[in-house]
Amino acid sequence: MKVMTKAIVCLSLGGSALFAAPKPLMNPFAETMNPSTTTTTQSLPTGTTTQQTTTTTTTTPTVTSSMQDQQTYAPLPTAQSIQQHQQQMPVMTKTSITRLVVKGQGVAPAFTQSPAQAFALAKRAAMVDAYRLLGEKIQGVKVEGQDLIKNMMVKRSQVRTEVNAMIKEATVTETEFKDGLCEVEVELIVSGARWHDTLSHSFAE
Amino acid sequence: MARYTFALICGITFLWSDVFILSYKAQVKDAQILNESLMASKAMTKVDKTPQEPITIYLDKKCTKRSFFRCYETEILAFLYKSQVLIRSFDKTLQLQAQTFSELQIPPQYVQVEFNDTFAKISLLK
Repeated sequence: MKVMTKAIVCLSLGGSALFAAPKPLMNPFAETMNPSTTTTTQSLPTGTTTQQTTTTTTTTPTVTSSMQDQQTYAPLPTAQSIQQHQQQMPVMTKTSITRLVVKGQGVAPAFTQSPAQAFALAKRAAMVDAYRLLGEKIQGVKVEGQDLIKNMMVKRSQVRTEVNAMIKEATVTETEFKDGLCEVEVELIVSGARWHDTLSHSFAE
Repeated sequence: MARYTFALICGITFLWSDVFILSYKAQVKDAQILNESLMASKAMTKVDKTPQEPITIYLDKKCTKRSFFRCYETEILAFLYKSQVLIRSFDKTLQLQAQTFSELQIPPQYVQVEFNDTFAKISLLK
């Protein structure tokens, strides 16, 4: 009887350790990296015995056939490789035409006098959202993060983003209103020949 | 006779074409519009600027000339959006809960409006 209870306790502890093990972060640049570089594969076994669980949680990595459990590690791309990539594919040339399309979303307020008013207000909000998305693409986003960690625990996590842009000659191509949500598709065509002088810093030499 | 006719036509055109200063501001919080205002004022000084490509608004609503901007706000805004838009947005994510605040501004600019019986022509002055 004691042996049985010990086995049950061991099994439950092992299972909890298996699920509580922190998952490693995936490298977002893994696809762009050279596959010949060092990649280590670590996986957790799907077995239920306690001995296997303890070995994996300590140091020994074991390879299983399931692809879902595989985690890939690869080094981040260097600044030189990014620069080479940008030189191969320049952002804009004098003859290129860049088409930016964004879809902004807006919601109608809860209390409106008529469906027409709800549509108008939701469309205004969607337009602002669409212009914001265009501003993100053109000018970029300023991101500021702040984390407060106390006693090895995150007490407060805050991220602030800011967009500040000026946009000219964007056109609305599509408007859709459904279930109180308005979606507006806005298009901006940036002609290389026209904007060369203004945006010369982003042109390839 | 031709001279008088020309003077009359010029006079009528002068009477019916007005120059306004238009500006627009909209504030959106959490994907809902918070506040918006389209401001129109007659130009107090003479404007020596050339009109750009005009658009035509057909006057199918029963509005007076005074309430023209209020009645045809949507069309006028669609016209103004193409000219120049300033967008400022501040997002805050606290404990994985996001709050957004965006402000869209169309800076004040001179707009010439030519009123007719059935339509009005609007053009930017630059």
